Amino acid sequence: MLDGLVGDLERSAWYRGQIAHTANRPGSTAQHATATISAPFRDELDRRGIELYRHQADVIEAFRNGKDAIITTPTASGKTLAFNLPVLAALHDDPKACALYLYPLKALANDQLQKLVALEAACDLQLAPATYDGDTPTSSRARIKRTSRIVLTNPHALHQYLPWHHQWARILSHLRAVVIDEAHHYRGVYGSNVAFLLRRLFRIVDHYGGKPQVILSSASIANPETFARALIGRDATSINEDGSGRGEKRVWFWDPLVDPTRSVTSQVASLLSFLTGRGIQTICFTRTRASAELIAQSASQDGAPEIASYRAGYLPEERRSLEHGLRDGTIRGVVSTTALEAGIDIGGLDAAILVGFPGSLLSAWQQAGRAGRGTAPSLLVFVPFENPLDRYFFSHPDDFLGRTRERLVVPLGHPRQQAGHLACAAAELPLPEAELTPEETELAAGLCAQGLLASTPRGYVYRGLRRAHEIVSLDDLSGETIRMVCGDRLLETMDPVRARRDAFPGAVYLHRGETYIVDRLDLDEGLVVVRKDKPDYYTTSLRASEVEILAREEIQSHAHHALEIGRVRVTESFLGYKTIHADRTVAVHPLDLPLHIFETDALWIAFPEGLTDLTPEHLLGSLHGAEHALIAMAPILVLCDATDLGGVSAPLHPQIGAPTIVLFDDASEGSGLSFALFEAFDRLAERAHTLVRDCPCTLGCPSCLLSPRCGSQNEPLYKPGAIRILELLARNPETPEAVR
Amino acid sequence: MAKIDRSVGWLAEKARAGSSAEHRTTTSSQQAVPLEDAFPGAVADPSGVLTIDDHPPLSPLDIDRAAVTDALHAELRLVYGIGARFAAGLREDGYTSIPALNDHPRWGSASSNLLKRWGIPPDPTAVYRTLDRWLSSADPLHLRALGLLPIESLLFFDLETLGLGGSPVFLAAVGRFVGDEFRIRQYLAPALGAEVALLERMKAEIRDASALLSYNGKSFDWTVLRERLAYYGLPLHETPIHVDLLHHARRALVGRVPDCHLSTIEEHVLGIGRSNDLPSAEVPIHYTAYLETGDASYLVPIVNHSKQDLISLVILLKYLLRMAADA
Ligand SMILES: [Zn+2]
Ligand SMILES: [Zn+2]
Repeated sequence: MLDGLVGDLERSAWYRGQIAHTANRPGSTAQHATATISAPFRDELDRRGIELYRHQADVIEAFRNGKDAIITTPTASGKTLAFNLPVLAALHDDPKACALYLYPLKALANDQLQKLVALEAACDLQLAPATYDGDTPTSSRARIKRTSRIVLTNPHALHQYLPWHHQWARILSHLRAVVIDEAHHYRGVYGSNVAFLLRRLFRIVDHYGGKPQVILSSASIANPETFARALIGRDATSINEDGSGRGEKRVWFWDPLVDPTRSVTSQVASLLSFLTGRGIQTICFTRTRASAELIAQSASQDGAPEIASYRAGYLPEERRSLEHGLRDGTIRGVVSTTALEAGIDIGGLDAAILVGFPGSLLSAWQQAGRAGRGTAPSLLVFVPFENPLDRYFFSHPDDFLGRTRERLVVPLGHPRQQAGHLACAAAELPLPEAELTPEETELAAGLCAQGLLASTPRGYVYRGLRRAHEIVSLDDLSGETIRMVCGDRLLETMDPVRARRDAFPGAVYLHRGETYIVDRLDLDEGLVVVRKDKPDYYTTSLRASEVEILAREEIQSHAHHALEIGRVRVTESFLGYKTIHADRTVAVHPLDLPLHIFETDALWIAFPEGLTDLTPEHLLGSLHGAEHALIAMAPILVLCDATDLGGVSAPLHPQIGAPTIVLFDDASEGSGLSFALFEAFDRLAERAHTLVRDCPCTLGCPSCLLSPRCGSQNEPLYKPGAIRILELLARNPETPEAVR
Repeated sequence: MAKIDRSVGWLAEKARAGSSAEHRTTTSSQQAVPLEDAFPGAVADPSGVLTIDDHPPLSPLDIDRAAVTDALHAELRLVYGIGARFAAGLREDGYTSIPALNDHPRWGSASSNLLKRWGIPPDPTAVYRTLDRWLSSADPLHLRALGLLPIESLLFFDLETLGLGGSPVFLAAVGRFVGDEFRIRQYLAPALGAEVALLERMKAEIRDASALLSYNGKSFDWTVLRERLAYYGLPLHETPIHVDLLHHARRALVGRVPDCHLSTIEEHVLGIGRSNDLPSAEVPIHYTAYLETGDASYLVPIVNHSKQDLISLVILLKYLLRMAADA
């Protein structure tokens, strides 16, 4: 079906040679293995004609051998079966044993419930699996607690239920397995919240005598072992070799800039109707709902009739009918925001189009994994936007196709967060001092002094006048949370740093593919009020940051520069914001927002001898350019958004006394990114250097140095100097000398 | 230390926000009153729990014991399968009591099974199980059936906590009739470390009682007791007979009181005026002030408040029993 496609495309009147290059990711043959499983499961597999893949057998054997495991094979490699089989087998062998499944979203838990119910029935088990969360009707709650042996829930709900543990005594005392599916959602500050929550859960389970094993399942990541260790606090066996066998993947790198007369949207619409017109069932992923709808619409006008669009928040029945239509072929193409990336069952399609790089290789390949049936070849088209990360992957196919994935960071050192979870833990069971680390002991003493804990012979006891679980929310980052509401609907919560920057009055705000305009930001009340709108412009705030270094933790000295990491205080002032239409600033508006001061982690690069080959008038522009490129490339190494990092460049930093570039975690108390980048700084610098050096522009462009989020409107930037600096950082001729 | 303050300060702020403790300063200019001066005669046991005894003058509790069985028998809805509609029809046909149904073709076996399960004289636990199953918890029969139990084994109880669910219990009050005297015993935790011992004392009190009486105890005091015992790893498995007078007051006093707070009922119905009483909302704040200053004079109004709650509970029970008998 895919053969001769390029030739056909070349004969299309609208095609202008946008395929800049193509690549092939070779397929692989399936690798099978056997595992010890009890009769009902063996029979069921035989009935369904399923032969276990090697990675599935590995998970089963690891579980049987009493090990915790993390499985990170690609989408559609049968991960669900890999963890359901050993868990259900354990529940089959011990009639009292129970399991807990944790899902990041209610919808995913509901999907899994259907699979468990089906497997339960097929294997003739009575496990009464049930989801238990805010949507569970009161009338079912007592029955679930009394009879269910598998409970599926989400972290927010679990956080609320832990203090009522005695109602769950049956399940907790016989807890045999904890399954953490879609675990890659638990990264960054939210990840550490979940990590602390899981430690609280394990403490309670231990109290009741349960001895669960943990299975984590995640998209492919670079550091499964360290991630699992951080998240669950125990070692897990990593199973990451995909044995499921894949078809060859043909990849087209589509350069929309080749045809400047047509927008990306309209090119993609033509491509989509071209593919679907040839019977190639295609899924197209976009960043926003507006563009998803636009593409679906204009593809239909182009003569492709059966194109659907899909977004987050669809009702289950809408979703089911879409899934159904895709499976039976009545829907030939679907344009979606990232909502279809995970967890929903649409089977394999023939082709996927990625409109814009979705921010991480992890997501990109989750999306790409939507195309591919068995071992038949499938097509992936990557259409980059004009920004550094997109253009980098566009021009470096090897990095795009390679097996390297981002690292997931779970920062566990937030004292505020730790204090919050300590208070909750002490409200769940008395917290003996012997269980605490030295930092926690210090925090507990602080909580006692504030009248939140009391030290008793049994340990610390929570004594606050309001419930601990009510004052500590899992969304809390810094302790002060801003709630974003549209009408009476809560859209999301955010840290005030973020709120000032992205949700100032007048800002155009993107949330799950929908655009909103901010009407009001009330920092005292902790509220952002937005309304839905479809403006044809976007906004960016104008800010100036100052960074004061508070403490150094580690220094790497190199021939001409020093790389340092430590604690800083960031003072950010807001000057105003601009509205941008078609990449042109149309207006600049003043903003009246207070200074924001926060402490966070940062890494900085100092050039103690100065940068003598750069003239003084180009020094700042060079540092600033290098800073932009480093920030832009950070998501290649660590799963994050470039907006999770802030940067400041100074020709003469007052504390260092030398030219300096500072990159900091853009969240109060830090998010672990600076530390992760410090570890991998050589690779970061090398990528940033390649990006800027290889960009054909001369002065810096949106694909290399220009950042739409720059607080100083990309002024000044000096590309040759930026290349010079990045080269210096990337070359790194001497082995670094670590000084503690 | 500044770092610790920053890390825990936000929690403390949130803990205070929304609670009425917000603008209260607990600095006391007077000399802190020690516990033994605040509660002369109270006894501290080795676990630290302070036991305070009192016997306020209350007339004896009198429940019509003879009429109980007849009242139970007259309630046909207690027979499995008989609802309000069937019961009315049966009464019209002359079946006015459960024993009379013994020969009824449809309900005969159900009614004789029930009577067999109850035994002679009716076993209170079996009777309450039937009542809880088929009648609303506000049905006066729950009150009248107390007549099946020895008066001395009824336990009136009330807890004072630091807040709503999940907060420590620092004072528990129990009351029971011994002869003609109503004896109140209060267990006070002078430090939160004594809470677990206090809860264990309550567990023992409950074990010795045949039934519990409370005001809003089904949703609050009993739940809290169970939760706090579980917090210390001491599960409470018993489910004793429990009559919650709030349910009965709601039904019996509808239209006569603006709300069903115990203090409102005292004022509007029972004619009890509390002088210088501590409002319930202030109780946790006073205890917190005591913890922070060590000044036991903060505890005196709490102990008096809890004592008055128990006394009102007895007076309310008598009032409701009279209403139930008159009905
Ligand atoms: Zn460029
Ligand atoms: Zn900038």
